[in-house]
Amino acid sequence: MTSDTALAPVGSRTALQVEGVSKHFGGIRAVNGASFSVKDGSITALIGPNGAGKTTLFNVITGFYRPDSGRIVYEDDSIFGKPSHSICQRGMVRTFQITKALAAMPVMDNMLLAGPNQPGEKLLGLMTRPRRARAVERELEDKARELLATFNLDKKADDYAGTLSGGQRKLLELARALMTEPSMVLLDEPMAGINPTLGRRLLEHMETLRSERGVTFLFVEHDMDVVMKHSDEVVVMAQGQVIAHGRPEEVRADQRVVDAYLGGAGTEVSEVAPKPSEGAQRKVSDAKSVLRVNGLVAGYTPEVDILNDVEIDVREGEIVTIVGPNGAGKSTLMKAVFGLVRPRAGSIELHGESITGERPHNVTRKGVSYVPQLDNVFPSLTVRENLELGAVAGSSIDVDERIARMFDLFPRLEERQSQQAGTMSGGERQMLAMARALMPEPHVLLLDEPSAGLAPAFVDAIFEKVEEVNATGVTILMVEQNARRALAMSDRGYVLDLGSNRFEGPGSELLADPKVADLYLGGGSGRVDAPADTDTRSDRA
Amino acid sequence: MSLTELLPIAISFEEFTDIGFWTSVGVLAGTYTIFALGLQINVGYTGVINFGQVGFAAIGAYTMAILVTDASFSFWLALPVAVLVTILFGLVIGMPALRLRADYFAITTIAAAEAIRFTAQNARDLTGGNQGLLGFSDDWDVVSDRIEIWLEWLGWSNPETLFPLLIVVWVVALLAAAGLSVLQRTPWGRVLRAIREDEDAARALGKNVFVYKLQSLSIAATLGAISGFFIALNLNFINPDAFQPLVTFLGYAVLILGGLASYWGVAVGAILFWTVLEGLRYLDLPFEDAEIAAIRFILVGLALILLMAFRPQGIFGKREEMVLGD
Repeated sequence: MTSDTALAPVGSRTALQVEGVSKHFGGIRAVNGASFSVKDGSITALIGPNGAGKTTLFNVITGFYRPDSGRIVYEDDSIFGKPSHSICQRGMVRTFQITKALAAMPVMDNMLLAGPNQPGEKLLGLMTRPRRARAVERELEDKARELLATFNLDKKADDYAGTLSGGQRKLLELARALMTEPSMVLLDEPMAGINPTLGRRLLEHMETLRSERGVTFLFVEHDMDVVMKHSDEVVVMAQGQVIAHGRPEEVRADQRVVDAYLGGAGTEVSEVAPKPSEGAQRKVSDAKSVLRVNGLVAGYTPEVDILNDVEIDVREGEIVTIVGPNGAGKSTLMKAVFGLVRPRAGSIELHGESITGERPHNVTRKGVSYVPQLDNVFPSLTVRENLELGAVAGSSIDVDERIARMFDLFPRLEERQSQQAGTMSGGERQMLAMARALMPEPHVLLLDEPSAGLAPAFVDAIFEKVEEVNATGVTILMVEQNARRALAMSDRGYVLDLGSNRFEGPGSELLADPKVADLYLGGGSGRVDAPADTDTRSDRA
Repeated sequence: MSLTELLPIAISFEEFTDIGFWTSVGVLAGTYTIFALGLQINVGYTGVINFGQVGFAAIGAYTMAILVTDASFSFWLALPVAVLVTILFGLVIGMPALRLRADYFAITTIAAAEAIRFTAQNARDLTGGNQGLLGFSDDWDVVSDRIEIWLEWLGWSNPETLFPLLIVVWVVALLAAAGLSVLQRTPWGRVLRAIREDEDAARALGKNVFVYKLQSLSIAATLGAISGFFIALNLNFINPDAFQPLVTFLGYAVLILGGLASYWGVAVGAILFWTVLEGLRYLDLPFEDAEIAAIRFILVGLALILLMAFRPQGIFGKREEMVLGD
């Protein structure tokens, strides 16, 4: 699309200016002094690893969160701290990562709702100008039909939005946003979970709107091929800050961006002592399989499979890390193993016994513990209470003794045992979450992004703890964004992409493979096909 | 041998042919229709969980009664003033509390309604305490008498005393249901439904959610006040006992029976609910009267549980609006 940029009405004018914006939640700095600008009439992508603060920044810009500090200027007006509805009324509209189609309302009502300045939406307007209200309603209906037709939703106009497929809901959300007559549209992962044909249609619409009406787009997206091909500029976030900003090819070549995705600079990795390879080899060859995943297919919305034929084998005493770009299905795999997502096909075996489709509480009783990526502690309970809850009722474990063991492993938790978990920093919470998961003495610990969103100092501490836990004999299956650091300490690693296995092998080998790095930033040799268009996504649908 | 002797449980049907029975059931049903219409716009259409509707009825009824008896207002002027006072009270509660999460708002409303009842109980100089207030209905009695004369002219030799009230309460109830149904189909009503579905989506589309919630609450307050007037006229006096939290929950029973997201369903729900509840008084059971009074509530509760289990949308609610979600 770079060839089109000359034709497209990308003005030199700035549509949106964000300066030093911060938003903290308790001890977590979700957005920490982010600054960037979006040119009028441009399509700008906002990318970054999980936990970089992209969605939080979206929420801050559109008034859903109140920023702590900074400056946000939209079309020469400050919108800092303004309520969300007034920001929409100024012409900046957003969509949500998880679609907010108003399910129990017909598609047409969803559309009409978005019309701006409707006299019929005011009680006074209804009483004083009923005729005008009806006229506006008719105009809106025509406009809505037209828009629905361009999104191939016109036949669905009278159906409840809840009956639409996931992809159609995404299109409805964009069509609905356009009903507000916006001059700028913010899209949070518009392409996630929709099939390639719909995805392509959505991209075409964005480009048409930009060239015909000069609409500015800012979108968060994980599919790097889409980002690199369809955006004029790319803003890269990591750790709550903007670390790079420029044209797609500049950003892709930027070492800081590569580091942000793979974790740590290349030089740093060599400093990290890799697991002694002899030991690792011994485990790999001799140890028997603990957890085996075969041909696993799973997903959330009907028709859309997030996981597609995934094979994983974890052996006794190993640390196995799953890496891969955002949206690869890593977290879904963890949830499927733990029973939070029901597999559609394939099998999961623990010690040779099937646990496919078991409920999470039964999986826990069989010796598998899980630390979710988010919301993994009970914030209003104390540290000790969190640990007590982690023990499984009816088991023979002496809770007090087990808590004492956890305090040995995580001395910090002992200091804070009577403090409410919600008041602790992100790193401390992560340690508590791990300790809680270890309470029932599991054989296997599933860790979903243990280092996400943590300050660098804590990242090291967490990884050290993971190794310590492993040394006590617990087998670990971990998903990590910080690929370099995690692979360096793993016995083996798997690289997932678009819901399937891509590469596997000893951690150190994967670490050295340039194809793995390419996978993260798109356009490299990692993908089977050159990413000419969205068809490369077809294996997800 | 009569039926009642054959069966251990039976209903004596004589009462059901009695016009007095149906008149009193009808007045209650009409009053609760108006009362629960307020709940419907809040709960069924805006997603605002209001557990304090009886508080609005109390404010309306007491303000009207106090204005007439203490400030010698005319009854007809006292009505709109009392409605305005109730709306004002609704705004005072809503301004801070509607910013809270839905469950905290619900707790606030129940607390506010109880605060009103306890105030009525204890501010004796103003409200008469537990003795209550009476003597506010002279102006209404004149109208009631006129309707009675008219009924006699129509050929009903000795009309029920409450029959004029029955006519008026249902005229008001049906007008309110019709008005709200029309309003609900306007763009304004559409915004309310959007808020019920997903506040954030409505906000992202430029709707000032807070203002709409306040408007919804104000309409509920108005309907609450009006139902309070009918409670007062039905009893001919008011005391704090008439405004127990139970009233709100009977209103919810009516709402659930009729179905969420249907204004006409509220009217049907109210008629059914009060027919069954009052009809059960005449259950011929081998129990004491006090026990029968309790049993009929047990039976109604059981019926509601079964209804929620097998027909959660109520009689008229749309099933899609209950089951479609993300």
